[in-house]
Amino acid sequence: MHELERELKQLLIDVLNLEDVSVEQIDSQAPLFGEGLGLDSIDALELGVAVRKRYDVKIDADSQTTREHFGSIANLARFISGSRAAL
Amino acid sequence: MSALSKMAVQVALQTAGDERPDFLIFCSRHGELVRTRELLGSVVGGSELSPTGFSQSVHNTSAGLYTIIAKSDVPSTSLAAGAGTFAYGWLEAESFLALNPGKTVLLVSYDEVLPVDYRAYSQQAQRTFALALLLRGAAAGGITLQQSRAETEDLLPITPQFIAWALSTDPALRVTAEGQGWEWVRLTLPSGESG
Repeated sequence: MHELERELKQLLIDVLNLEDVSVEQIDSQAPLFGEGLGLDSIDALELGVAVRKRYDVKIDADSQTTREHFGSIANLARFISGSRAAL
Repeated sequence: MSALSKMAVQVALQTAGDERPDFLIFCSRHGELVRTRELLGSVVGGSELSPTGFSQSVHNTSAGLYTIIAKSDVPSTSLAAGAGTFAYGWLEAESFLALNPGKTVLLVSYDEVLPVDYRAYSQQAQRTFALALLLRGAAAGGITLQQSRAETEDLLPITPQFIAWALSTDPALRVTAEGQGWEWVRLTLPSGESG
């Protein structure tokens, strides 16, 4: 799980072009949007596209649970490993 | 933010400093062409388009990002006018200042080298540059732009030529872009006054 979280942090930095942020600086539990890293709705879309491409998971844009899955790196890692297990 | 927008916004913020310009003119011949090329590549390759790439591929991307970062709510315009882009941007600035005495304009000119696929279609020398000028009307002296006789087409974009001229003491800069001649002139102050 830690490896996946690390991977996700790097993905986040790469796709959102967060040049001055390092993997170590991102807290797995911290909120990704609004507060915390302060990402916006376009960033959310960008991250969604990247996660879907990399991990081949289905993301329902309208679902309330999607909001939770993208709430933090830890949530996202749990969602991805859960989706993989379900395959 | 694209490398292009980073350059444009950076010079704009540095030049504006604590000033609050009354009007923003962002001029770029090719704008976010690097992003557009990437998006087209995704379309052709059948992969999903980048939402950020899409939302920031418009010509007023840099102006929009500047107003967000500078928390500015003043009007802005984003121009593209071929090889003469910088001259038309300056014309826009002089017009605004003539109509609005006492106001200031932030004029930003920026471009980057073309994506490889497009270079065959351009005769111009490939340069990457960003320039921001905070302009206000001068009661006397100052710099003005006028149309002039067209000469041989310039291969170098106007902006790098303007920068070199502004740093020199030459009285005038003449350029020709797409058959239109332009001349920037340093107006001399009446004797006894200093600049």
